[in-house]
Amino acid sequence: MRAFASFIISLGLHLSLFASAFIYFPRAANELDSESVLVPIELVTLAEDTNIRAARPDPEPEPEPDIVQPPEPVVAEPEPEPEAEPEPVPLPPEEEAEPEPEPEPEAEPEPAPPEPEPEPEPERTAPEPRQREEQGLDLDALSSLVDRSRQQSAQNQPADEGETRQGAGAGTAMTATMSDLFRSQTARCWREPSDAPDPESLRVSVEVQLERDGSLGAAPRLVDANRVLGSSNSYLRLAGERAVRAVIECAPYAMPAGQYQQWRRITVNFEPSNR
Amino acid sequence: MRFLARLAALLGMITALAAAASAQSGDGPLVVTVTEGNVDPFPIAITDFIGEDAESVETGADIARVVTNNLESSGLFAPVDQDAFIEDISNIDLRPRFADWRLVNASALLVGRVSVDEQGRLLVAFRLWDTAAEQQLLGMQFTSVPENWRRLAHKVSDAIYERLTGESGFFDTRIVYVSEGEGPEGEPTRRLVIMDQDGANPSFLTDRSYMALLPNYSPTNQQITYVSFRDLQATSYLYDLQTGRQEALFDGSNAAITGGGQSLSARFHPNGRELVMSVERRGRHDLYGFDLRTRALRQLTNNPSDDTEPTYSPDGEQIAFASNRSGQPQLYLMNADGSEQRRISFGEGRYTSPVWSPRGDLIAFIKQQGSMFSLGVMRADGSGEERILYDGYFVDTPAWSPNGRILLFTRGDYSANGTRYSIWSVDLGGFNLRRLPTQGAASDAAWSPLLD
Repeated sequence: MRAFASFIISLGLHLSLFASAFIYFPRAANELDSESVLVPIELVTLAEDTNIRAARPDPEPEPEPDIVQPPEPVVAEPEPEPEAEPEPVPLPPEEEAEPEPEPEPEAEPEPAPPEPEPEPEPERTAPEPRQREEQGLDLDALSSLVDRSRQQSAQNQPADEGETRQGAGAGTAMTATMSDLFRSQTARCWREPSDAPDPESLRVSVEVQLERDGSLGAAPRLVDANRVLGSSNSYLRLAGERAVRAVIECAPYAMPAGQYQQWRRITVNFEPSNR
Repeated sequence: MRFLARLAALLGMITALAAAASAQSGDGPLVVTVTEGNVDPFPIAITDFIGEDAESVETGADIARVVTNNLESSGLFAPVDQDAFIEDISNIDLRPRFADWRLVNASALLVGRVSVDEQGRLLVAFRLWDTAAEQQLLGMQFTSVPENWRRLAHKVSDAIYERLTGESGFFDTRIVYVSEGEGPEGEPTRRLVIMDQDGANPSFLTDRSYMALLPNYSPTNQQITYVSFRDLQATSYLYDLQTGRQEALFDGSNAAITGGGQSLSARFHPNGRELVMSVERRGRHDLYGFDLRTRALRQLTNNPSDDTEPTYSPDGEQIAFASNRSGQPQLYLMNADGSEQRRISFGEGRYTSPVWSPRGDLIAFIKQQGSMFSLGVMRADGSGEERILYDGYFVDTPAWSPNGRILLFTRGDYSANGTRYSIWSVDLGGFNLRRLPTQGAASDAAWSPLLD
């Protein structure tokens, strides 16, 4: 009886192995082709799922996507004179804030060493004898703060910037999906509006057409451009402009030429979040 | 039989997975979702404004310098070094060679022109270009008397800031602060100073015969309130910066305040015509509203503890304040008529100095925990986590920029001969920490609204 049960288990497992080979492996074999494609950026292979080891400072210099275009001839197209003359700003002569005229003893005993504060503006006219800066700044404290903010901002960097890279997926290999490949290249150029009052409401999409060499085949098109650019919400208008600018500034894109049909047309959704 | 049933289920799952995989390879566009970008400063090329004669050329360079300094100090822009420029702008009405500007990594380009018309008025025109989309983003001109070139530069800065960030600028503004010094006999002096936001044109507002403290700017016009302190008596004053006239808010006519009463920290209603303040009577502080036209005083809170430091929401509907009614000072909210008082801060330590953001969504505060002072912001409804922007040996008197993007605060640093005070700015993310260019020791900043 026990032997029979084992036989059934064994049969079931063998059957399932057999069946899975039929159904799944043919597709996987296709994918293996693309996995051998080397992509000349920090992510090296393509796969169905993203799977990236986390990395600290990446020694490899990041290829700069230089946009070298032939200098256009200067079109002497006289722009219409600045149409908006907002207001003829008749700025009143500075009448406010007269210092009270008071005779004052000129000599101000200054206990502190005269450490001259660098004057912010050379042409400033001092209405009264000025006190000197009594003490220099606490540079140590300041620089430690700056360091701290640097560290913090470094932590805020997007994942694929080269210096640091977060792991993704199982974290055991160096593969990425096609969309991750494109995302990693666009994100660098996108100024995200995370500090706007309601970032979740500022989602916009851009339709991109790419040439086989990864350059832009046409000007990127903002989806729903009338609603976005005509919005009364200035943050939304700006989010639309920034999305288009990001796609332009990061071109050309390093994408695997063999799969051109897959990335010839791309819809990029820019979805800022509050963080 | 059970095994067979499980086997069937397993086979079904494998089939479903394969079907899902094949469904993914459609013929539509690749869909990419970007959720994280960068928050780096925006690279902008600012060319010297061109001019016909030597004087205009000089003014044009000065304007470019002020604009560059303004935008850079905001922390949101990275002006490109002028030495890197390739194209020499000689006519601002021609399209620039965008490729030249993209090469120096400028995402935007500012070109401008300075001229003087027949009446001797200064005319400043400028264009802001998007170098990626190759489009003009903004084209404007301003005129004024030549002495006002600096304010024109601030107006240009504000226009660019607004176009590229979506929020209003804060460059054509002034800041009032308390200058700390010593008199002839070594006695401490506290005098109000007003200066441009970038530190230019400073001048004293008060003399050294009395101490002037805690200025607050009207959100609508060139008026401040401040507290004078003389003969151990604190009195709230209203100071009209345009006329130079100042008046004590409560003279003998207001019996509620006189007779040992002291008033502190009067802040303006968003309409600029009313004040809210804490008044000390019989040893305890309560909050009062005060109408500047009718001179009517209206009591808003009434309890045995101290209610202090009131601040209006930008819509005028609510007031935030500090109170020690539950022991240590904490922050509270109430309707503008004093109803529905409720606590909004629940962290450890002492919460004081609430100041409502002009944007309305946040309240800045000072928190003291042990020997550590912090400047923080919390959501105005008290929800969510508080965010600490700065902490140090001593931190006090937060003040918002008129667009709610930057906070000024007084910072005290320990030194052998006493605490040294200075004013610093920090942005909402806790970045871009900068010292305000004041002369000498300074504290208690107040930021004006945008000038007209």
